[in-house]
Amino acid sequence: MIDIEKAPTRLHAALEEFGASFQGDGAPDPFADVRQAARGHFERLGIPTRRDEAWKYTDLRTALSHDYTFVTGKTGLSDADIDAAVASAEIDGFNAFRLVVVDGEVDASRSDLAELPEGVLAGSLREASATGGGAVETYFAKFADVEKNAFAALNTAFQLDGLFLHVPKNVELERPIHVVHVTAAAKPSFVQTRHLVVVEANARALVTETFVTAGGSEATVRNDLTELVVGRGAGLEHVRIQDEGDAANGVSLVQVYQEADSQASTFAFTFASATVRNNITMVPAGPGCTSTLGGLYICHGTQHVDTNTLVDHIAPGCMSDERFKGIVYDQSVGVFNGKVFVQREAQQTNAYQQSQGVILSPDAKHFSKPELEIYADDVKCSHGSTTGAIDPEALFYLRARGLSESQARSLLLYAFAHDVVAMVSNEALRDSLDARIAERLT
Amino acid sequence: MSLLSIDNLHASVEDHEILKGLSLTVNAGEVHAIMGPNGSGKSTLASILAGRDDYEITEGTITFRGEDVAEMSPEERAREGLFLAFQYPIELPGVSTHQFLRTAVNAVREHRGEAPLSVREFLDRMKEKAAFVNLDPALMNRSVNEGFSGGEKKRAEIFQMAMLDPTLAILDETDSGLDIDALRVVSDGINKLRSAERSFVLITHYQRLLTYVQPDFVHVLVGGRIVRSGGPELALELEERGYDWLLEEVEG
Repeated sequence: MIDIEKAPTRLHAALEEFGASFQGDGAPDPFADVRQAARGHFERLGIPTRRDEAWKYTDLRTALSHDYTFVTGKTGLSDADIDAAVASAEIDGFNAFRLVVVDGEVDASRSDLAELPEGVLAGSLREASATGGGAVETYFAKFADVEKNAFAALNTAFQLDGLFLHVPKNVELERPIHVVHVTAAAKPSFVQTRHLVVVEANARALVTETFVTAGGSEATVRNDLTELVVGRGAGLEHVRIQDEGDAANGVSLVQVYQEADSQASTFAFTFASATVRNNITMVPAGPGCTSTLGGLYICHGTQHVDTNTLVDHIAPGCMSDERFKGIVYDQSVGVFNGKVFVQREAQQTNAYQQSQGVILSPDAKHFSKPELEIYADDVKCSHGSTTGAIDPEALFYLRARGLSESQARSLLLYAFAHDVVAMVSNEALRDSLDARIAERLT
Repeated sequence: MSLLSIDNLHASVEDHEILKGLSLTVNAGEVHAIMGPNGSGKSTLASILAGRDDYEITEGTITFRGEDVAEMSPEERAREGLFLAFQYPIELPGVSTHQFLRTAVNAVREHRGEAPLSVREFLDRMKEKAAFVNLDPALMNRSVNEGFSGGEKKRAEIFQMAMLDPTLAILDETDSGLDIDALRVVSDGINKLRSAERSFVLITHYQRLLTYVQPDFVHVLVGGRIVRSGGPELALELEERGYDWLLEEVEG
């Protein structure tokens, strides 16, 4: 339906239909101009193809070739299925505030946002933007580049729902926020969500997103956009866990904007999926920032996970630490493309990037492309990129001590994967990730 | 029946023959030292016994506890009670010693028909065996061998050996790179593990380990074959005279 090369008019019709579904109920229409402009950019840019350098290894045509319907809320799902899906995303001991988003629409009845600390706002972005004013007015759609990124433009073109979180100055949100995304997958569906998280000066928060599917097994495509704004001296940690099953395609953009002396981290853990493209952009815009980004993808079957990161050092005295790891089985494909820009003003930058892939089958592939562009002269930057099989010496050592080949392989892969999990601060979350990793390593 | 019986072993790596008719018999409780100049095939022998797959046995047999070793995977050999202390113990970042050894010990125990050790039993045993070789028990929570000094790595190998309780331990140049104090600690650890049921094959270039660990037999490996066997006095003779006279005798 949305293969723009084959059926541009059908795409257009679908977009009309999608846009119309938000209107007609007399609701206010905030950001209409922003959305209209974004719509224009999308129409101009079109869906990227492999001719675009940034999409060299990822072909969306198969993922987009189904007869998708743009969905805007729970469609054809039984309550029991949704409840089961929400329960499956539960993280033991996490003790989080929960926001449930079903097929792109916040489900207040399944969310649990009671007892938020005073001044903290958490809830539906669509509702918050209808009210207008405040942090939404200040920060909405200010950061993602809709002029160049077609999916960001497509996302911005509609009045989408998702998490709005505002943590005021000096407030430490002790309990995490857990966003649980449920996709029905009862029919081929195109689902979009949008989040805006604003953590003001010296405030702190942890936001985790889990993506699951309820019952259905039809192909889905997601297009998710998350804007994270981290104020001066503030701390924000963001973790995405993609585990929707092998018919779930998706494109995401996590856009992080940091003011001076802030600490931000964003992680992407991809387990069961089809073709996935995760874009992460971090902009430490004031001096003294720490930016951490990491990810792990464990791919089976014909899964395809493409990670594209950009750290744009525009201010002096910042540090970035980036670590992505992939494990590819069967005919699966892992792609990592990490750009680090150090602009002329960004002296005393300390930028570190590492990407590692382990290939476990002759038909699996892993592409890794680090790109450093440095225009400042007083900086410390390093990057490492390795792709290969499991070290046969390490395997032999473990087997010579009595471990079976599969035990030895699992232990080594687990250690490899846990290295990224160890960057996550929350113990309950780490335990949950470790458990899921153990299941995915065969 | 002997514990280990190697008969006319020929072995190659990448079509290059390294062992050329090696024979050796080890009975329960015996300590054999295999000495020889560099390149004589000592480490190849250790690797073949442990089951490293870069080597091809082209002729001859190895029998361990009555079974043909060539048919056994490295882990089957380990579970049957064969232990190789590596010349260069490998570092495994992210793999905790504790977790790895518990899996290994319980794999061996399961093979022997014994119940797995509880966490408590395992920790107690770790503490006890670490003391054997003066190893700080805190190292067990760290990654296997990661950041260990050369001496710590060798001590950790002896510690792992004690944990796995093998019937035949092959020590591949465990003495190399150790200062005299570390050598004493490692030797003490080995001596504590000597018993009527446990045999050792000590592969070494130098005699000095053998002043601390008294062998029952000393063999000299030259050019892929054992060219001379004797008692501990042979090691002293080699220390005094070097290997050249033996090489001349063999070649002459």
